[in-house]
Amino acid sequence: MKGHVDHSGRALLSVELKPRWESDPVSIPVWVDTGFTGELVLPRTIIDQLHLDQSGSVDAILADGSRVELPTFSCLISWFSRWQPLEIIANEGEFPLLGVGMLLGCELRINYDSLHIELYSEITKHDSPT
Amino acid sequence: MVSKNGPTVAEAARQIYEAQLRDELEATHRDDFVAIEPTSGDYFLGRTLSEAIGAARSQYPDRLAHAFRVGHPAAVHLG
Repeated sequence: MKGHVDHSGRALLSVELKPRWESDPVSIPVWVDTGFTGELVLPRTIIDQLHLDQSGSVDAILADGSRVELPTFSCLISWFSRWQPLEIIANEGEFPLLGVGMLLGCELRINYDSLHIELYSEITKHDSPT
Repeated sequence: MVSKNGPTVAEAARQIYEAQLRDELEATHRDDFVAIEPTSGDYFLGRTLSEAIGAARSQYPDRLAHAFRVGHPAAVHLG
């Protein structure tokens, strides 16, 4: 999986999501955030656009140390070309965040000189360009 | 607020976790995720948040669950 570093220094990948198996996929740019220990956070506006079903909630600790309760929503993600269920956390932020929960078992290479990102899955042992 | 039912679900799940599950799970499933469906009191373990909530969702598709990370003050850190 390949991505790029933008002019703000954000490491960006593109992932495909869909609310249900029969739905058409939607491609969404996500910011790789190793300070986020979950899998994927989406702004509430995108969750509303995708018409995702709420599945529950979690408690989260923010960067300032405050604790908040955030809702979770069910969807499907294409991850290394395999569709799999994913529980997304909603927040009021502006940008989707991909956390270390999605990176487990992977090798992430970010080159801030060439501005290229490569993510390899150690489980599937192959690189699947998107 | 999560939804009109969210706080009740979360609060009930927290009560179940503290009263019935914390000690046992911290000894046996530290760092795993657990989703609690508070109406039944059933709980679902997973290595990821998606596994835990997904399992609760499979068993109770029309109910909400609240998830914890065993041995951690919150399920996730953001930032």
